[in-house]
Amino acid sequence: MANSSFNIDPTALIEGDIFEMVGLTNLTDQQKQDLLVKFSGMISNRVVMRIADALEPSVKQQWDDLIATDKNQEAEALLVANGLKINELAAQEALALKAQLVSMSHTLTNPQ
Amino acid sequence: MRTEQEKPKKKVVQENFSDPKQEVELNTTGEKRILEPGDNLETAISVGLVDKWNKFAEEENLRAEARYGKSWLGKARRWLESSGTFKKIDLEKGEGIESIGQYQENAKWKKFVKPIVKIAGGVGMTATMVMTGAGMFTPALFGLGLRETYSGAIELAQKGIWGGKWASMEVDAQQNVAKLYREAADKRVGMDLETFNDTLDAITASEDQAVARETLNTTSEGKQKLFRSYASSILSVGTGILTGVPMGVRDLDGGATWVTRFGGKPAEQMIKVLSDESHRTMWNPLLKDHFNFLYNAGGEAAKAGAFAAEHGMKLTQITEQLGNAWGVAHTTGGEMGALVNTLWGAGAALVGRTIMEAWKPKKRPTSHELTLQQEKEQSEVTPNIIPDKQNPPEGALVAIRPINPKQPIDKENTISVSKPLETPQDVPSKKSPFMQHYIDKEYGINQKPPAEKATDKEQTSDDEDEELVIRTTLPPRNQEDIEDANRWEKHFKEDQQTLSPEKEVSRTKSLDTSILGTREFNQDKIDAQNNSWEGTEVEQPAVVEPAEVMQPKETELFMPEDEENLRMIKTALKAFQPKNFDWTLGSLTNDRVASIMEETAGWDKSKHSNNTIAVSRAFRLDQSKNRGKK
Repeated sequence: MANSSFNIDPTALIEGDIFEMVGLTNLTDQQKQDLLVKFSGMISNRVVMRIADALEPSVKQQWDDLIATDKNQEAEALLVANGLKINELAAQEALALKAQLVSMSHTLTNPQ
Repeated sequence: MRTEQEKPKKKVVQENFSDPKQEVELNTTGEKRILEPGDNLETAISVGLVDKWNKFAEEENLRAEARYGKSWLGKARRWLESSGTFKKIDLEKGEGIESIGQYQENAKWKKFVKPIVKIAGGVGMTATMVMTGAGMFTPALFGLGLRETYSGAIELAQKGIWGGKWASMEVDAQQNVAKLYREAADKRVGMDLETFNDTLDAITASEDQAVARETLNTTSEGKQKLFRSYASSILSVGTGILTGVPMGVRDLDGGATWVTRFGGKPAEQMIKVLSDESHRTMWNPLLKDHFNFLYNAGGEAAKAGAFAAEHGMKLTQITEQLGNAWGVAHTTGGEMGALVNTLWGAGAALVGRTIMEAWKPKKRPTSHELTLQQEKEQSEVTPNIIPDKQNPPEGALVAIRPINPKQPIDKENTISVSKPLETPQDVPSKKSPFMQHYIDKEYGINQKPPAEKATDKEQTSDDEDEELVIRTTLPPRNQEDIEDANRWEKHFKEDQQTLSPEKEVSRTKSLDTSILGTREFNQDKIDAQNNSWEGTEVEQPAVVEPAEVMQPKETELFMPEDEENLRMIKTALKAFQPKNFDWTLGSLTNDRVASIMEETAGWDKSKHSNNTIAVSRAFRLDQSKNRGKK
């Protein structure tokens, strides 16, 4: 399992089930679901942080005001106007996190 | 396997690991466990990995809260997970569900997505799709930006590794031009013709380099764009078809070259060095048969380097290409083909985030922006030339002290130049000292030896005025030349008596700019500057440029009246032409010649500005005709 987790082609890394890739086949569905929710939280954090970092301070303040007043559509329109696509950011961060998690399994199975 | 409460904690040897000497201690969340020899390796790995993931998530969450505040983070996350784009998908109501393709057909996906979307909203759906791999290449996920992720990651990698350097080199080249201009401006007062020519050559050469760099960068950017198009097509269309994305480098000039060599054991071992989460993996499509690995710390690169050297692997330090902002990097060779394939996914995914966090691509400045920056820098370095109508800057207008006509002729001229006058009204109205100086300089009269520069007499006569010295090397003049000059001087004095102070300011500035100009300085700008205090030495790089070096504009169109004016000017100037005086060299100013011409028929004195332009055009016509004859 140790080496096989990295002896994969890119297709497997992108399309594969992360639990199968790293050998966590003995986890229950509930455990997997809990982990997926946790990963979702990490992705959400990363996305909003990227939004915060990408916006100019004045624009960010404007965005903060919009989401604080539940003006969700305006808030998203503001991001789009500033070249930020939420879906794209989420997909990027999800893929990046998946790669990180897989690589962590490798270091665990191949300690230095 | 026992719990910690049942048995004292101890370290154990994992015989199933590739290195039998390696001791491993694994903890799990909630219940700590100690593994013993013979324990199931997969169990050990599983509990250890889950623990590691949980710890990783917890630490990252704490860092995020510390950086952005728990309140703001929670508010933003609630918005993200329950509104906006993701709100369009509601699994309970079935809204938008058709957009996620295989949802109904994929049992595993359906099993996970539905409950997770309830908890984590649209981000949960994305996470589930990516993590489980279910429906990764459905239109839904592509709609969520996966295709853009591929292309964007490649582009960022290109910009990060090469684009930054290209842009930097281009800016360096352009800044070198600006630097030479500044240096020329700084020493313009004491610059002789030889120095000027050297400076001009240097500026021209540096401009050529800048243009060449811009051209090269444009070409390279085109190649990069082509490659991104090619690579993203492979990745987005062919990922599900090909058995792995070939990670060889596409040689755009010579066809495709794929990495086919596999390194066996060394490559596998190298994975250990390269692939933990502390590393940054970069794919560089432009390095033929190579793959780039980028490290956060020099120690990591050193470790990888030592390992590569030990196993006889290619390793090339490319730190100098990346600079400090990137840390340390190295390149591995073709024997890493298997590893290249393996790490491509991680590299492609991580590269975007790595670059966005570590480096923000900067827009390459345009020539106009660079010029503005250059002018800003100049104004910061020499604030005394900032244009100001209330306080004319030093150098904006220079009055030349009349020179003693009794002074003996010497082969070296020395002209004293005082500080600029405070206001236009302070300009002396009795004479045209600049022209006086120019005649004296040209014909070698009223000179004083270098030893007399900045004499006590001059210093005291002008109190606080700072004496500046211009030196020009000229051959001694004969008496005939001196007489010619005296004729000129007489003419000027007569002319000056009819001038108002305002007109003299304009004329002086015009004369000034005719000499202190740039290579492409033209009469339109001169006239524009004559109408305003801003201009002259502020808007133009103040390079001393003798008229004989100035060339007419290549694209200038001449009118029939220019030819007629030229003929009239030549005729009129014969009466004033000193021996061997080559007026085509621009020794006479347009302004002065216009004044002369206004004494002849057909020239309206009330339209002096137009006359000056006409003279300028006639001179340029003549220069155009005679170009190359010398």
